[in-house]
Amino acid sequence: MDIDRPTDPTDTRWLPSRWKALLIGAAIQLILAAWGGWYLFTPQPQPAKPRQLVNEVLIPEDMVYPDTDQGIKIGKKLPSIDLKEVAAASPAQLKAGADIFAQNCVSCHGLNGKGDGPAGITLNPGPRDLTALNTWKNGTRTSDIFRTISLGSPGTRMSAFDFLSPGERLALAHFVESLAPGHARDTAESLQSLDRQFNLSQGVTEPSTIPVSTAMDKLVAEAAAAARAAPNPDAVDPAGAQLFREVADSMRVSSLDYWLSHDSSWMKDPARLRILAVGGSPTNGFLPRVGMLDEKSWGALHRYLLVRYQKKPEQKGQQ
Amino acid sequence: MDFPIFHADFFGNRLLIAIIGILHILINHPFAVGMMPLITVLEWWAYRRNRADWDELLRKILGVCFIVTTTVGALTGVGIWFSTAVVNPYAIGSLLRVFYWAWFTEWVIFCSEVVLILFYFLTWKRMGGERKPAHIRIGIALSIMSWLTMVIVTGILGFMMNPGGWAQEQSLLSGFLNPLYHPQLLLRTTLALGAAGSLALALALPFTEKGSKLRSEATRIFCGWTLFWVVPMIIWSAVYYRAIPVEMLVNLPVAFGTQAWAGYYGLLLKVAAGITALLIGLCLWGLWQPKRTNAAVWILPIICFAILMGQFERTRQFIRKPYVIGFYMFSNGIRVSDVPYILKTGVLANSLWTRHTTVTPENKVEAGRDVFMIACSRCHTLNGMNSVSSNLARLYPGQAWWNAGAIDTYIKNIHGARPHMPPFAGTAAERSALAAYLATLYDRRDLTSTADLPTNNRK
Repeated sequence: MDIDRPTDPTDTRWLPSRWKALLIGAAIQLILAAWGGWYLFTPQPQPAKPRQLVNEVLIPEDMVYPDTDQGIKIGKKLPSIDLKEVAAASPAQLKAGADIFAQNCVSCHGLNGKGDGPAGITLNPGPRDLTALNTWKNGTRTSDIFRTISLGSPGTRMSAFDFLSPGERLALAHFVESLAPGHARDTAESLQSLDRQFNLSQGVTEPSTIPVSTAMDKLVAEAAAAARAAPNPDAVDPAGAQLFREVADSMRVSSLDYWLSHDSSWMKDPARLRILAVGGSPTNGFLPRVGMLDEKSWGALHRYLLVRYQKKPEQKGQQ
Repeated sequence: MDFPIFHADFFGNRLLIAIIGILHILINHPFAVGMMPLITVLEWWAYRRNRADWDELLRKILGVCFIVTTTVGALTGVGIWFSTAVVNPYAIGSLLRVFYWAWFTEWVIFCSEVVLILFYFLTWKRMGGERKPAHIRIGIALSIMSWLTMVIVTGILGFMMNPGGWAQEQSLLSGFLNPLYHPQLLLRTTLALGAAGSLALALALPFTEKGSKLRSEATRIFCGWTLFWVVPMIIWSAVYYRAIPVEMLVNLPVAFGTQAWAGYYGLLLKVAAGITALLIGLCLWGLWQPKRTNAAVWILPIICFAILMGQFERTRQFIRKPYVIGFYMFSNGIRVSDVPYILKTGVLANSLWTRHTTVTPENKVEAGRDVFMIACSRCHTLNGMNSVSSNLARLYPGQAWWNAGAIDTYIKNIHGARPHMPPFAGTAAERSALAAYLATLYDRRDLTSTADLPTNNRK
């Protein structure tokens, strides 16, 4: 742009200055809106969820090797439970249940079980009010409470408290029952069905546990072994690999890896792959020349990518 | 864990960073990045139109910006890196490893910016008449340099929310061009330009006569400039919102309104929308009727901008939790990938600045305090802002509940109950030591001493 003042004040060049300003302003607005609109209406990649961390992992007993694994806990047989204990609570059970409640439940369900615990404030759905029986959805009998404690409530933050022994869960169920009057009574059939589901009268064997670090080491070793055993896509399909190298931007392979392994919509349909590769983000990892491929090459590229990315989940463990 | 522990128990380390950081943004965006192009464009316009009154008004506005940016602006800018490096050296160390040359470039550009603004302001009168075009060119160079500082820092800020392709590629460019880079750069650029218009609107008041033609012209031009940039700013804030990782959006109510106000998220959103609407309304009014208003009204737009900018920064800082660098490092400086190792070997055993390296029955509470200082004190204080004692008091409203066993159980699954908390990284013994220490806080709520911070045990 010409910074100097025009020597002739009547010199308006190709457009009056006001129109020029309007034109530049409109162009800036249009570019910003179009670019923003492109971001808003094309799918943006999202990061992979990190592995959920837990402190202990339950694994089947035959996978535990006491001589090599650290921190393992071999399961033991727990005493059986008399069905009469399920039907009626003893004072000892209520006292034990109150302690278990204080340690495990109060933070969400609140001191009096009204669902007003401070840790529950941000949960959605919020914690159940254990005294408002008419809002319960899994039944109010002792056996129902036992089942909810043991299995959790899917779709909510109520997790399975299966690390408590059956005796502890039973004591807790009785304590929860004592929080409000009006609970339905168990019948002989409901007690027997609970017994069948949880093997109460025969006694259960507590599963063995190992620390999460050991479990992760095992998973990593397994995944590494699986990755070694999996076919190398470049060896299976050398022509496809060559084609891929020609159209992929070697600087952006991680970007390609990222969205191709997270957006699986292209796997069933070569046409969808073409839309994503040509019409997607200009930085999606394909070079512009990918748009010049013919129909046959698209098929070949799709076949190669299927091999390349369908074994991706197993490779993850190597990192 | 390899560094000494800086801990401000009264107002917390987070607030220290927040005050310096937000103050810096409130100065950097309107006073520097947005203002320099605005003044340069208008200087050129005044020169073409031969308007000496406008030239003088712009010089006075620039004078204010010159003083503010080279004092408070520069001090807070450097202060951000000092305070964050002291509070969380692990995070800054990780960023330094990735953005080594970006940091270097940033310093060069910042120095050029300071030199150019010195020249631009101090030569304003001397370079009039024939030399005006050269002076305008200094303004253009200054505008570009101011914006380039933003171009670089935005790469680092976006990286902290979502490193994107860097997780695999580990190169400077892949970390710099993270998924948030363009959305955030465009949002901040339009925000800065719009805010500069509103700031100039307020700064023009003391330098123009009441009822003068110059004032009504200035009102109209600055309102129009603000409005021009507010429109793309709204579009790009929607783009930015969409670029936030979905895992982090669950933090939005707490991030936007703090834990105490999380329940009023809907209301707070309406307030923010209302402030934006007020801003647009005022600008439209200024375009249409620049004269028929009490002059004090024209201070409101920059106040609206200050609220929006401060709120944006707070939300952006909090929403990353439990990470300080998204999906890579937790807020307490422990790398995500190190958690299994620390679960196995313990956090004390891997720390240099701690008095106890193992937990024994005799030192349990003392060791628990060391664990607190290493694992919790980056965000929590004992009795100040966001204190553990107030959190525990809300969780356990009585001594009967406030016991080590209950706290231990809670910490074990703290990352499940609170999505913004990292998992506890340490052995079971360290966890129970921490719980035992936190249980003693019930009787020691006056405890604020930072004098007995852990010292280097390997000396």
